Amino acid sequence: MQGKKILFIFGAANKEHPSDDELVKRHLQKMDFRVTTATAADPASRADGQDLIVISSTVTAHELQGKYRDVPVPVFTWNTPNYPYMNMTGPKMHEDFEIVDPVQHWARSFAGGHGYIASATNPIAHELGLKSQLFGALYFMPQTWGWGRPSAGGTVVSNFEGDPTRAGIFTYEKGASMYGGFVAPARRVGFYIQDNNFHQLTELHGPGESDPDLAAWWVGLKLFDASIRWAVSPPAQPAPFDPALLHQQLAQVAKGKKVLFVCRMNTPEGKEADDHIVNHLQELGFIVTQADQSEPQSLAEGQDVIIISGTNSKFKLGNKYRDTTIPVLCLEGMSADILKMAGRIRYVDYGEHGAARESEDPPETFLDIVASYHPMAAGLKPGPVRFIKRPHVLKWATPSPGAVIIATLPSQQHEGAILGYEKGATMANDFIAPARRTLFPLDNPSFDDLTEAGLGLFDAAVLWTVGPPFK
Amino acid sequence: MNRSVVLGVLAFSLCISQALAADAYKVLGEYRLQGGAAKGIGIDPSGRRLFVASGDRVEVLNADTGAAMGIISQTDAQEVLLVNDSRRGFASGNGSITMFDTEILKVLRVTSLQASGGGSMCYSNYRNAVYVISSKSGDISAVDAKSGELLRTASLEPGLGQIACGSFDYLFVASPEKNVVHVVSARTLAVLGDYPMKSGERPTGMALDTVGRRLFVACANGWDEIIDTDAGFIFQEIEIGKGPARSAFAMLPQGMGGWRGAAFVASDDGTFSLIRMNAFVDYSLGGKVTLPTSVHSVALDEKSHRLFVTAKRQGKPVVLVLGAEGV
Repeated sequence: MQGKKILFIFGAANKEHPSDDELVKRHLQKMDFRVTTATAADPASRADGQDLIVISSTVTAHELQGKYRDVPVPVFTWNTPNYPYMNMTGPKMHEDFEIVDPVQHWARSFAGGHGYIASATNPIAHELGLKSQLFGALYFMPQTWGWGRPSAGGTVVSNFEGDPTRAGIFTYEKGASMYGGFVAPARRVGFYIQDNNFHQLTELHGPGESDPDLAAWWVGLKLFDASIRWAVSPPAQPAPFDPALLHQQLAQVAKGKKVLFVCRMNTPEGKEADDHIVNHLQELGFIVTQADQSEPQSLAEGQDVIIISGTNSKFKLGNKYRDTTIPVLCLEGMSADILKMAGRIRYVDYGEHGAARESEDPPETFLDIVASYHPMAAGLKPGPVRFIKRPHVLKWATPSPGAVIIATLPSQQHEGAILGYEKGATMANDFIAPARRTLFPLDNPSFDDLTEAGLGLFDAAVLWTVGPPFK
Repeated sequence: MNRSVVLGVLAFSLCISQALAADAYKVLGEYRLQGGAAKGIGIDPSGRRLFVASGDRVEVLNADTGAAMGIISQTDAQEVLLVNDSRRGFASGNGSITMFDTEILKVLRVTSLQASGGGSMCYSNYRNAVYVISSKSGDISAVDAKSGELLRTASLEPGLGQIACGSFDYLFVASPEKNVVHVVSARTLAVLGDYPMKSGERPTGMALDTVGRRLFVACANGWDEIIDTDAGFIFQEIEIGKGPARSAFAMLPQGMGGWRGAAFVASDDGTFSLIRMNAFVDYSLGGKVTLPTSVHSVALDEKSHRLFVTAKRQGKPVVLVLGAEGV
């Protein structure tokens, strides 16, 4: 952090409205940042040449508005009412964002003491070695704290009140789709503190530091610091979409690797498409073994990746391949609950568009890329991409915050179409991913109908699933 | 420390029920001392006696009248600690600790310390040991409270402030030089970790609420840091007087809406601060009394609800008697 420049924007404090802004400024300086200050009245050009913009809750959100929304400089903010102006959340108070304070919400204000780490694989949690569990967010007393509900392109680092989407800390990678499809010009971080409780961020000193349980609890300040560090570190740099290069990269990885392709064998429905998927994999260099949905999962032993075809029947597949330590790429969205990729309520936690008599949504052609920075986005730009040539059934799942959503169904931000769980990520019902898990909406017989971008996304999904997990 | 601000602290747990009206606290009187200084102070509430470290002695005064009741010899007396349940008293100074009988005022044993000077003391009921800081040399010594025998000594760093005996066999030692409170094992005297300060600089005075496990750390720059000792976490800061200080804590259960406890801080600039405990997570400044002199140490009388503060007034060592009118 040495010598990096921060523009710290804060408002006036007085006896009636005390603030911790001076404490924050000193703290940032202790982290070796060069801090200059600004007010809401200053022009956005003050951001030029800075490495990070920090916005305090003491700034009047409606005065500041979206002044720093477009700046290609990372922004770290705990100004909850300003989230909508920054496109970090939707505009509805209490639905998209909220400030909980002891005056209005006495009982709820205690909830600010307990945050929940959404997933150990999040880079900020990972830096601190935190598990997916509760932690002491603010010192246990009535506190004022804020939450925001990021869009599908955002990442929940920690949440409050048992609601996985009520994010106390959340991030957007550069290139991620924010609320309304706005693309993050640089990294963005939202944090839960308010005007004068930075000093209540928990920290541990003394003999307790050697106790791993205490050390994993008193981490409020460490999360603040790690979030700052993440914000100013280099963002992901995705290469532009190049299907030939992608194919080549996948072929290099595939060489000699074994795939167990699980499908409904000896039935005409979807067979042709399944065969074509197998052919595609074999052409890439994978050694493919086919297994029927009803065969035991012991067939997967020694395999490098399991691909579950869209021809499988959820009823026949059962709970197989949920616990395997082999990476799984699932093309059958209706099995998302079994594989712990989503909750268990059909058409609430997972579902499909376009299935006759089963969905009130029409068939789809497009996907909406929301994590263009991620390798599974294949270098495609954020926003709508034609996925299949003709409208067909597309399945979706609403994953837990431990997942990365690469693409959603159009106009349905909560309906993840392509998503992945890193090994060790927290899946639905606090299930920890034993290896990478990927969901890809390839209902039978859509493989033959994939566009060039669609096939690129498929290859990118295979490449990521079979690749080395995050450490 | 810029001078040998004094010691002396409550060596007992207090429990008074009468309302404490901090703003009404005034100097009601003063007791003159015969020695050359006014440093640590302890009180025997049932025996109605004050023990004051004063130059080459510990002076014993009638707590209600200030009348002299006797002396106990102790060269360069710095601190007094009373263990009232066992009739034991201890005085530190000049590289030694003197154990005396608090009723017959007889010296029972003088133990040489492996350190020069003398400083703050605390008593561990669990260990039945007295721990004494030698501010000058920066040593900490453990003395058996029954026999007066020196058990062990360890070196920290010079210029140490007050010591408090805490829960879990911990000792807390203020370190102005390092701007931390050392957490020391009462068993081995090894430093187990440090609590750093936030706004506070140069911590000197300390008081411990052993029930809530809150440590009140008075810092020379005018901040009192309130620490949750389970985590070493400073969750509240209160503005007090400036300069080196000494502190004491007492539970003061007054019922709903009243004080639940108080930390008393005597600061070198003559400010006497009362920190009010509203709840275990909520403290506020209960009042400040500006005294016309620099003050050293404080003791609270659970019977009369008066505070006894050692000071030098016009160059003369005295004990100031503070109380609310009508109390």
